[in-house]
Amino acid sequence: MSPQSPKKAKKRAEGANSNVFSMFEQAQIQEFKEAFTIMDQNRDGFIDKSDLRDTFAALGRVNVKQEEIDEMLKEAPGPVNFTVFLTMFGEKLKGADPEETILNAFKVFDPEATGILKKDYVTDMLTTQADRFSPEEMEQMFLAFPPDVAGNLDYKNLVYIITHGEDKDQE
Amino acid sequence: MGCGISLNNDYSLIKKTERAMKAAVLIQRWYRQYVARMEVRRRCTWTIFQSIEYAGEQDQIKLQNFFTYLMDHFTPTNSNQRDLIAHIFTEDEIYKETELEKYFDHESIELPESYTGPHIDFPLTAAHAASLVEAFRHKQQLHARYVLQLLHETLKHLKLLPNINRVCTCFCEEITICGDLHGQLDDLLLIFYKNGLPSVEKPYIFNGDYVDRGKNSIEILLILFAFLLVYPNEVHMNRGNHEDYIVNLRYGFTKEVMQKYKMHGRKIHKLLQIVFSWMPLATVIDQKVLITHGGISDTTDLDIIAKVDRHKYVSVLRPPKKKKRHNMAEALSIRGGRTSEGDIQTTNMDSRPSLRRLSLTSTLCYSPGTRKRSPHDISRKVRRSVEEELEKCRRQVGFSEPYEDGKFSLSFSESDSESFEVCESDNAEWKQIVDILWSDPMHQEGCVPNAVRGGGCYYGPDVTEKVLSRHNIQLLIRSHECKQDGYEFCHNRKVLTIFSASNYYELGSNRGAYVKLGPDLIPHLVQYQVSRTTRKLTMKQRVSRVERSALRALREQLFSHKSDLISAFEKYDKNKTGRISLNDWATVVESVLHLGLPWRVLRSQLVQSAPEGLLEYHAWFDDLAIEQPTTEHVHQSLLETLYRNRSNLETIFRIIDSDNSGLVSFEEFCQTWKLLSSHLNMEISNEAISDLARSIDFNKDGSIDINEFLEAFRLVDKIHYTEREGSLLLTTPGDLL
Repeated sequence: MSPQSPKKAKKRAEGANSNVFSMFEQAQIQEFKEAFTIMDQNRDGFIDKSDLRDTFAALGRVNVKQEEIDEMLKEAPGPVNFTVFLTMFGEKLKGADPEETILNAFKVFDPEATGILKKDYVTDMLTTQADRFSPEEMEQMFLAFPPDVAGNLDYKNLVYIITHGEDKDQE
Repeated sequence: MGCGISLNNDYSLIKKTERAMKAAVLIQRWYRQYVARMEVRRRCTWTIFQSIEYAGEQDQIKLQNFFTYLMDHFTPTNSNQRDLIAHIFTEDEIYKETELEKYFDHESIELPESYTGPHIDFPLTAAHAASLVEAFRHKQQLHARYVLQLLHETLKHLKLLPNINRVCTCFCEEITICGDLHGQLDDLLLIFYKNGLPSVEKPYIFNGDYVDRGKNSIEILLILFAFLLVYPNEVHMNRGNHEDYIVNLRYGFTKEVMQKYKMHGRKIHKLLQIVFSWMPLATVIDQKVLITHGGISDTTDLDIIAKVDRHKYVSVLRPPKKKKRHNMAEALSIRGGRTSEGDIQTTNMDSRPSLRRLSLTSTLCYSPGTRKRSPHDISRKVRRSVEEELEKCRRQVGFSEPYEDGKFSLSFSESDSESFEVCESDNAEWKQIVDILWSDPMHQEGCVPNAVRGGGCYYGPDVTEKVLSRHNIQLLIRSHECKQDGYEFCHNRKVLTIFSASNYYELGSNRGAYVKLGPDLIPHLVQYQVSRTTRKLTMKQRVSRVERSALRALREQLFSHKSDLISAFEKYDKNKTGRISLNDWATVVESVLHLGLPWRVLRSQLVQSAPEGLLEYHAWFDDLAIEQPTTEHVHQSLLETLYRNRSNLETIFRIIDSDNSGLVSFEEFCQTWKLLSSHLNMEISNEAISDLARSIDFNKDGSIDINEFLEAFRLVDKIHYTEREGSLLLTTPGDLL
């Protein structure tokens, strides 16, 4: 998976047109609108930048990188309204990483395929490179998916739970 | 050679590093999406709760109308009932001090030998107050004798206070300000634990809404009143919009008092009405910080507020009481409430977060019931026409011969929604008070009437700026709205909302907070959350739990509107296939429920399966609940009415059940139902009502156990049933604020 270049992203935003609504079916647009509205807390028709990522997530299936969002937002004239939202991200509103892909990503760090990774190693791996996790984010993840007493993280379980989500809800 | 090999190694190393980075990116992004999804679910859930809360306010409107109707038509079968209802629904003239003592005589109430609860004595000491806290912590109850005594002393104290308390930070380090508590004693105890009990060194300001919804409203009041008496210079209490007997009828406080105090409940309730009316309306610290329950409007003027006779406003929802006229108790002035502006403007509704809500006051406008003619009626009519020239917005109600023939009936004048000639200053004054108790801040500029609450406004940052600077105030601290984190700043940090009832919607839904102000007047916020389990819930678990609760409430809403939904579905299903598209489903549901929720996003949670994108809507309702109420032969619309009005019905039953036995007679039961149905313009045959009654277990001479009755109609959903509280039914979001 090659990261999209910022230049490319910039181009897309520039080439946006008001015909974006024609890209989608009515029902889809309504669904996007709902997601948008959830985030638009004060119902003034705009959401701020920090809400954008969450808005995608509402649709549950978005393949947008943080860097790209940031780049695009730099281009945006101001607060994001629904049309701008659709325009900027229209094409991206499909697909999600399948379970297999994420598992393989973890396996890169677990070449012997033991199914577990050391907590410290995971921390190192995620907080020191690429789109670095902040310490808080790392802590949150371990809170949600605690390693065992020996410090091992069962990543297969983690991936399964996140991918299959609601079914595995336990109180 | 060496180079070649090392080059190879370098290359593979580079490749490896690149792969690792890509993998990391993938994982990071994917995980962040997951977190973001949680956040969206949480917000969605919040929206659900708030929407249902708003819809619940419409229920209140209906309840008020129903009570009005009830008063008009209900024939009490015994003097107990009559007294009780008269008590609750009449605003008698202002009591003289001596009358009060005599009427609320606590001396005559004997303390039984068996009483193990706390004892208090007057003058109250800090030890007494602390003992109350401890006693309530251990779930004891204060005896009615002491309650009446305490309330009486509190009233004496409150009468000495001005409308606006003036407080200064010079004598202490910090003042602690708390927001809504809503009967949640655990939160108050937690605050005292973290922050210390009120004392000379620890002043407190409580900003209203002590009661309703939670189970310990009276205990909270008693504790706070006790400290108020012990530390009159350090403890201050503002009135909230829930310190209002009309609101209490709907949201649980009345019920709580009746249940806990039974035959003494009436007097306590009545005395509380008066106590509430004497509570101050606002507090100002160092002339720089204004603390009031709701907020402001563009016309807010503290000088006017400082001068009103606040106790005239027994319920802020009604116009100020008038003094007794012609030896006739002035009862039940049901009003067609309007602000001085006349019409409620619903400008720009779509941008308002509460667009779903109906106008409280416009439906408070009483719909004309049957009028009973009497001599008093005519003289009143004459009087009225004269007054109508002088005054606006007032409805005259009076008793026809009271208590004659063991009956009473009320005659209502016709709705005066057409003519408005209330005295300007009266109305303006009233608006001032409603505004500070009911208003909410909004993001947009301007000041629009709060069309839901029916009084008060939505005020924008410009209004805040204007009003605060007019009075040289730098910060407005208010409550009234539940906030995720227990507090929220807005309007350039000029407005601080502080909300002290954690887990308000559901366990895990929100934190509570209080704020401390020192002489520098810089707010320091402290958050907390009452939690019965020590185990720390993960974010996902928290979100899921609250979500489940919201969805359960939503399912109930859907279920209770089944008839309307089905007929609306059928409109889209012209070919009568029994199926509709999911898109149409979303459209229909919104058009019937008017909750403004993201139905498409919620769909996966509400609809189990829809092959080929088509939903079988009849079967869908079965999916909503597994345990149907046991009365399947009961008419569907009756069932739904029951569902929608469950908490209202319970309140009514408890009022009817004047001896608090938990039983109502068959006749009373049928009578109530008849009233409800005719009021709602529903056709219910006597047979249907009998069926309903028969389906409930009768015990003891044909009387109906209220609790059994309500239990019989409990909606249990199979997938998400939790044992959270046995009384799922009695604390559903329909009872929300």
